[in-house]
Amino acid sequence: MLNIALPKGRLGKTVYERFAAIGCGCPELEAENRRLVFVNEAAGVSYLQVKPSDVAIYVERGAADIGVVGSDILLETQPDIYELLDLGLGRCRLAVAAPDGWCEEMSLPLRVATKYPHVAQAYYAALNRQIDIIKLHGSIELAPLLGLSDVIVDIVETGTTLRENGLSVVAEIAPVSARLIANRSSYQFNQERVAALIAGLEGKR
Amino acid sequence: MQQQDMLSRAERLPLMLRTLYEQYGYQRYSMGKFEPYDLYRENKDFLSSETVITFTDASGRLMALKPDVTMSIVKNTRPETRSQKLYYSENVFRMKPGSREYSEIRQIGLEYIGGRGAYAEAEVVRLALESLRSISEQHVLCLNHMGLISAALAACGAAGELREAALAALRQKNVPALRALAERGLSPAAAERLAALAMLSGRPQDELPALVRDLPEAAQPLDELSQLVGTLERCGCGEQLRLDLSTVGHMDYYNGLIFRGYLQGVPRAVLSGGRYDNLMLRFGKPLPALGFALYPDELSRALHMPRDYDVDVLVLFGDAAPELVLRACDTLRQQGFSVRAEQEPPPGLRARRCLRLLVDGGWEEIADA
Repeated sequence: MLNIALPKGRLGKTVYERFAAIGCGCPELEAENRRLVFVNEAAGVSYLQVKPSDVAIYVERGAADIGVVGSDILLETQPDIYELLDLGLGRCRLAVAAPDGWCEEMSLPLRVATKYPHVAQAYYAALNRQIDIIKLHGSIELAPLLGLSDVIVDIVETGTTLRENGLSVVAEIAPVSARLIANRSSYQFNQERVAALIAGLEGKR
Repeated sequence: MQQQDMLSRAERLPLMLRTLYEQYGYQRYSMGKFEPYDLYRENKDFLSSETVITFTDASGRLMALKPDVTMSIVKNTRPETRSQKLYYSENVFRMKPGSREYSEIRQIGLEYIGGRGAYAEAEVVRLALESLRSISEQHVLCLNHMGLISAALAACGAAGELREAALAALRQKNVPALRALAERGLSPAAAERLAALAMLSGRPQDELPALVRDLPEAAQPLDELSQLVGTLERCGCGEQLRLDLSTVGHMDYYNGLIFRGYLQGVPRAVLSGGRYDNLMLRFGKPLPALGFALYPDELSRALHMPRDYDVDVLVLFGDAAPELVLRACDTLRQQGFSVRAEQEPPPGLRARRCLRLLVDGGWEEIADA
């Protein structure tokens, strides 16, 4: 049995369709309900639906053999896993955004509001820029509008939310997309199945 | 209850491993919990975690809780030593990476100082396999060679920062990241080649011939690996070996053979080791050396077998006289049962049998305690 951790939500749904298309479907999952674990004995797969930011934790600690997670979360949490495949889904980018027309004050530490403190820290450390991290859990765009921060570090998809709030991208940090990840130990014992899965998913790209 | 059963599998493991290592003539090495900090400060680049837990002793000297055993063994090796086979079972203290938490980690391992050539590697790898086997039949030992990795990276033209990035991606089998290196100056063909190497994982007997053909730059490390695998194969213990190029260790620490052991159902590697001649040189001891360590903490959950009962017999003695209780329980203990005497049934205790001791010394079986 191969345990697969999928992120709840739109990305998880698209990813599941990819898996189903290569013979790893699970009819129970397609029926709308609130269960979190779905098993297809015949195909030898079971799916867990977890919060996107928790997928890597399930995989790193072996509760799931493989999983699908955004590379933004991998960059932030640096889990000790195998990152096997770029699924090319959920494409967006990690970027720095600031109010339109913003001018950086170099004599003060930069105040950065973000859900990604480690990414922000690493990015500015490489630039030797002293920063003050403000960790938020949502509505990051609000922070610069209220003077809570100078800039934000967040994922940007189309830029609509930024535009509507009078913000714009001032620097790109990294492109983001969904990745197939695997537990380091379980990979050694399920190698053929995972390899077949990768081949299937690559063929369907 | 037999004495054997009383020790949990986790408690028996160190005894089993000790017996194994003693059978091969390895001697026990023990060390104190702390040492002067200088040893670790001067060799910080060899430590896997950067933070050592320190404190000052009464004379103001900075001391450290030992973060590593191998370094202390190397330091204590006399330069005139030709060969030394040691094993240890120690606790090391480290700061967990990415957090400010202290952790105490148990390590059981062995070191073969002066271990030169094909025999030394065969012996140490075989002991690693035997150690894993004594825990579970469902195990694999992933082999790799730092010389092979260096040659592959050099052949692909990865140097400096690019080399660091490639190495990190190789460790994670991060094919997307390796392909992305083409945008940072690596030729697309080289990036594709590294991606293929990252995914290389299988029985060394199957994988080595193709590598020998495709990577003539790595002839020497590949030859060493082939010899080792051949030897183990001929001794009937090559079945659980894997060649996996994501088995990458500390580049400054290991310089040749490197390996890591996994057990089915345990999410992290439980054993890691390799050849560390560089560390020896750093301490001014031009001797070859290799060794490995097991991390029993990773195993304790896998080895834990829940018990159905806390005790064989629960004796409820009510108002019976103390000497009567002691004597009655002794009789049961002599029959090999574990016995817990209580005036009233303790809540939550699971006993195989429950007996009520009557005031006249007689017994009454209670069906449901």
